[in-house]
Amino acid sequence: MQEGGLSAMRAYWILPNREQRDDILASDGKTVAPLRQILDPRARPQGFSHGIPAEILEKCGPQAFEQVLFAQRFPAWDGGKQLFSIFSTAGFDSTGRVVHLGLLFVLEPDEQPRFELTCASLPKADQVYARTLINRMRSTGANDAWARSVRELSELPPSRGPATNVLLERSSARFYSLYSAGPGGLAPKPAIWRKPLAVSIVSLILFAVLGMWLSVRGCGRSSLPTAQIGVVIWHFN
Amino acid sequence: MMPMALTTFRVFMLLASFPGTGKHFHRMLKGAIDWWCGKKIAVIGPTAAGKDSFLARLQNQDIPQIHTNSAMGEKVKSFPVKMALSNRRVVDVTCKGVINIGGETDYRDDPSGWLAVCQDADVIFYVMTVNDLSAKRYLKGRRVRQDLDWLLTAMPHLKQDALIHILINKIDQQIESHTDYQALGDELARELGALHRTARSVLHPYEDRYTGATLISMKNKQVYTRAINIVFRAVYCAFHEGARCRKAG
Repeated sequence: MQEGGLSAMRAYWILPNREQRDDILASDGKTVAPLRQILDPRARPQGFSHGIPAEILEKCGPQAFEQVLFAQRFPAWDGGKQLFSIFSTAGFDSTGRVVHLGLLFVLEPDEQPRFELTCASLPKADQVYARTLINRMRSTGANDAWARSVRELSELPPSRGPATNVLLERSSARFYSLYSAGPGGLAPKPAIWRKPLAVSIVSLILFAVLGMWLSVRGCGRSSLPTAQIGVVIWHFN
Repeated sequence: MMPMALTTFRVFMLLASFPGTGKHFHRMLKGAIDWWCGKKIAVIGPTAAGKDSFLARLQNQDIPQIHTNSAMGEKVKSFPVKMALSNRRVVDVTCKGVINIGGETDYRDDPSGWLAVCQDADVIFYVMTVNDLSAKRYLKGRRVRQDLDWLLTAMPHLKQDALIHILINKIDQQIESHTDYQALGDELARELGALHRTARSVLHPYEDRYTGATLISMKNKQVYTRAINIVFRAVYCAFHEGARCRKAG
């Protein structure tokens, strides 16, 4: 698969499951084998995706399916190696479901993915999608925001931890992300609070402080008519 | 302040002394806890079996317009399931913490895949197709059987009262492609019986958690409505009346 083949980088195609098989297939460019023989399911990092998550496709809408690229990066995986994957849509399966074509890289800690790959041995139906993906990743892509976001992801410092090019809101694993997807394409990720628990705790503390302040204030001025302080104070006894 | 507190306490003691108040209070508390916790369902099964469609139907939605081969476990927003059953029981639960996941074996064998989906689940729906049934994929070494084997190994790690129900989807396709319904019915009954025996023997000693297998169609709303009534009756019965109900069934 890798022309030159001098570095430690290993690259595989993850093939679309057009025939609705029980396992996901992968190719090293020469042979096709179940992905599990290349990457044991038990060794896959939490949140590892085998395609573009449905939430991104839903946000972008069908007209943008061909543009969407989804990438994930897992630094410090399996003895310090990096796992890097990129997915594009690749048409439909026999029942009209969107299927995905992917590139999986196993990299050294500071290595960048290189797109010097061949797709000649892939099934014919997949070759056109594979070629498009490679071309997009190779080109400077001034107008291709999705490809740019993948390149930016590959250049992130490993200290960021597991990361994706696009924000995921429904993933059970947490990722650092660069952009958010929407009907208009990619947009820089908005700086919003994404931790409702933290928001709840802060709100509770604020309410508690406010409550204490009001009660102290109320006690201190209890001889004043209640109408003046705007709070109805019930006096028992 | 003191007399008021005292009066409140007296009223509380008086109410608590009424017969059945404790029970009622306990029921209310349990109901409140149940409501807060909700029910967790897990939907697993081979690829393209209809897991997404089932989740959509449960939410009273149509089959999703944008349909994609599920690429990773994705959280589903909590949703209520409210349904009056034909036996005058009512299912009224909030499904919380549901994760939608793919059906390829890669997801099954990934520790953060099916196992994570099924952990803490009250009911596990295993969705297969009527083609899987006709092709006897419940026999040793084949996909459905492998999944049942996996379920057995997962059982010790699941909730102690978790129930399993098999949904056999796409029955509408079989109905449409047949003209001799009597023969189709006989054949399906035979295969269902065999699946039933296989499921019980594979899941032993957890076979009591298995509540049955039901033919269903996510696509055809009439068939779905009939089938889901049977499904929930079986699950409701197992939940509320436990082993006694299953024995009677």
